[in-house]
Amino acid sequence: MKLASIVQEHEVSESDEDSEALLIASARAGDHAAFESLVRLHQDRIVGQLTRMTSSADVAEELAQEVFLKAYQSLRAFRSQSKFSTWLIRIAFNTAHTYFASSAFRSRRKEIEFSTEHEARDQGATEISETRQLVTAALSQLKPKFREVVVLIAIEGFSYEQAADALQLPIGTVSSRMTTALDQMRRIISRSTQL
Amino acid sequence: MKNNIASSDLHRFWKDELAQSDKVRVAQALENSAELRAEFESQRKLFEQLDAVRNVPARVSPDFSKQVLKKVNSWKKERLYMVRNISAIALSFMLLVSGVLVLGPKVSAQALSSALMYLEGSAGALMMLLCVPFALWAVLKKNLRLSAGFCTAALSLFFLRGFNSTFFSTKDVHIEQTGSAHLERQLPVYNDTRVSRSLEVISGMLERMADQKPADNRQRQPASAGTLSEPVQDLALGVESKDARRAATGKELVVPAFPRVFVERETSAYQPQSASVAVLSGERYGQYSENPRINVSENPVSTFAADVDTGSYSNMRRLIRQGMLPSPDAVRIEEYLNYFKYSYSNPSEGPFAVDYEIAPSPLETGRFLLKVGVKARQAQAVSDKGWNIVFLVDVSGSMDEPDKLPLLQQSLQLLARQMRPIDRIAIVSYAGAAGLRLASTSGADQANISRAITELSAGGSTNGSGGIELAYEIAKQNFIQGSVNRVVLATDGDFNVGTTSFDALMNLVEQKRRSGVTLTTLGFGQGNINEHNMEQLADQGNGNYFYIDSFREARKVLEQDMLSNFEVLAKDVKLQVEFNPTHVSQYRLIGFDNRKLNREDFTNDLKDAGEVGSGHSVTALYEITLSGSPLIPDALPALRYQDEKQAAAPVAKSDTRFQNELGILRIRYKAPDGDRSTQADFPLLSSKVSGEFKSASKDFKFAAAVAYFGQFLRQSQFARNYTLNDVNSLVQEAIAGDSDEARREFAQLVSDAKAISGQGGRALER
Repeated sequence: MKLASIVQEHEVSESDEDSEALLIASARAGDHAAFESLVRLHQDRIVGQLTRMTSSADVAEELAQEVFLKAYQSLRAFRSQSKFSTWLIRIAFNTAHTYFASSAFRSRRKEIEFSTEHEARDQGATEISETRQLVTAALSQLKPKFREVVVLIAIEGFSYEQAADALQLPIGTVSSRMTTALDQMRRIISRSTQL
Repeated sequence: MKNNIASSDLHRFWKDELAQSDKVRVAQALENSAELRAEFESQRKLFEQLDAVRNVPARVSPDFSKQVLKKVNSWKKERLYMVRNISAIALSFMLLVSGVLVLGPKVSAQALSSALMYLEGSAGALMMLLCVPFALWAVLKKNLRLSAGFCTAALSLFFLRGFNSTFFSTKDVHIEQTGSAHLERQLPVYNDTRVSRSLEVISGMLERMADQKPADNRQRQPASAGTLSEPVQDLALGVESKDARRAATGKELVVPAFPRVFVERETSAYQPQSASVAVLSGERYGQYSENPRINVSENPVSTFAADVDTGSYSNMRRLIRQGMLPSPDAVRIEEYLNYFKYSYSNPSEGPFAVDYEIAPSPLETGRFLLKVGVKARQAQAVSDKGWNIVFLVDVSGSMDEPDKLPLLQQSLQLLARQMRPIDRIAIVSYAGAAGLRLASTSGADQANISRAITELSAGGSTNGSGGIELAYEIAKQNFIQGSVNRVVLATDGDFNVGTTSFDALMNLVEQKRRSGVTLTTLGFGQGNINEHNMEQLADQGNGNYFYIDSFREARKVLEQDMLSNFEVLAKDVKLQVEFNPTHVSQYRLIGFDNRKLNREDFTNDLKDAGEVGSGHSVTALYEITLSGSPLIPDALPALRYQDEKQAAAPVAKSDTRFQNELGILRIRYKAPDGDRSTQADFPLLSSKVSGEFKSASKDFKFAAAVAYFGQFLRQSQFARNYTLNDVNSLVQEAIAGDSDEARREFAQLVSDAKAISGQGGRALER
């Protein structure tokens, strides 16, 4: 489906979009302040996604910096038809993939399996924070390709079509990966709650 | 998958994302199957849980965007460098072409030589690729001269080790790390040492091809930097080098080595005191501020690590002989002082004996000098256990200078001749034709050892897995318990010994030290020597760093002082002096600027310090101000919020036991293979204070002269009250009637330094 649908889904009002387009144009021309604003607009989202993917806030931030650097480097290649955030997400996932393939990650793998780095933020609702821990732990045990579909669809709220587009995969692949991911997660969570 | 309904279908159904037809299908399936409904219920729980994790605010550092911008900026800089490099290549190539076509091979050879000096590694590779089509064109045109020229250039560049190593083994450069992530990005490090030899090969070949006599003068021509015009030089010189050049033209500073194209400055992460490294053309020294004058009432304790390196002295000698003064950062006064032998008595019991002398300073009125000498016991000349030595030798192209590999070979022969049948020596080479050159051989087999040394040659492409791991492996295989097991690293500044970074190298050295194999570093040659790194490695390896500038020095290090340089009597040796405020109001430790320790480090056995070899001595010089001296202690600015404690009269213990002590020297040390330290105390009696400098010993006078000379070269703030002339008179007086060669040589150096600094006076006016 067309990327235009993503525009609708993500509640970006026209004026926001215009100002963002302006920022992108200035950044492309070399305006560092404009680029910095762009970064600030999207940093939470990108860091958030990467955190969920990598189960580590520190690694996520490092990677996020890479992501924005790459974005800067290929700013010229960005066509204004796509949404900037979707484009960023693509770069983010690619960067995450490269990271997972790297030797640095392979040595951290064992730690991540049982990582408790992701802290509960909502002090008030202990139920939710427990859930979050549960989910995060389960997530971290998935293989990257499954993890990313879960992050996009279940957590970021993308529709299957939008996720397929962002990941540049056929929707069937996305569905089957999601199926596997959901089944695996259920197994993991039920196992840990049975303790 | 029940009834062909996958979990994702259920999920999409729950999210209401399905098209109408699919929606109906799923709804019907749910109706028909209780099993599916149950499954859906359990799935629903998961869906809700996943939903709950949404909208978690990410914890982003407040300066995240700034960090990103920083990365953007450095990327831009890299790109700029690349662009400038390519322009430099293109420009030099144009020169080459015009040279070949218009002015003939000899000029083009010179142009190529100069051009190559600015190009390294991957730049050289690009040049080669550019030469190839031209070579083909020349061959097709049947122009013998041109095709010979271009083919040779292309082939020579291909064999340039820079090409090989850049593409086949890049060094990692750690990007600034935030948090716990370690992302290593590979950046090629520009390293100029490999080009210098190759360019001679190329120009020689080109000239021979054109039936010209090859240049007889094979020495490097620093002046050829002038064959290219200013703009091209500016293009090739990085910003840092330009500042260095500007600085260098003002004073007599370090020899100008080849300007480098955009070098990544290596920052050492090891030194606990953040030492910034001064880059002057290619020689690198650490920067440390000198010790200040300290009031005993505030801080009566002076602690430092015993250090017996001497590299700084021989380096200074090398420079003065060339008519230059060393950079202040290269001056380590304690190494000057400790280069010389003083007559200290051997310890009668225990590993150390202390000799000290106190007399008025000859050049600073009102102040006294305290010279303290710690002498280590001389081990028996012949020990019953053999030594296990592995030499790790740099054989890169840049080592092919008379003051490098050939000198190293002579030094090795010297050492080899002293190896006894119970000793073992092995040789591993790196950075050129790397690998095992001599398996661990007994000293009885002099013929083989000598042959292996003679066969060492610089150059050749990097291949084989020679390097430090191999060297340590051999040391381990031939380990001799309770004796000397040492790797000696000999290089002119290249550390591509097979580790990925300098930090990794440091870690390796430390690891191996713990297993009992120590490391000594020997520096050769000029223009590339990185004293800072060499010293650090030696420190880490419980060894010493020596700079070998001549065969004489090689004899000193590897023959005369060999026993004390290789056999460690005590390790992690720390010295501490506590001054008695009754007698001393101020003190200043001369030298040991980068050896200072905190007071609590003295008893901390985990803190690494210096190593002292058998028969070695460590001399330290303090400038002290005695209590009751008319000299007012340097005043501190008054406190605003508190009342200053009464510091006028020093608070001394009323215990009269210490009435006759000026201070006390404490030594803490460990056995070579021990972990716990032992302490020995030596009181410094005030009765030893001499009233006149005239009546002090020759050693004392000489040491004073050395220290003041060192301060002058260091451009110390405490050198303002005297001139080099004063130092010269002092030295002359100190060596009167002395036949010691080293001391006479020192006097000559002082006199030369006087001439260099323009304080010599006019010959005709005398």
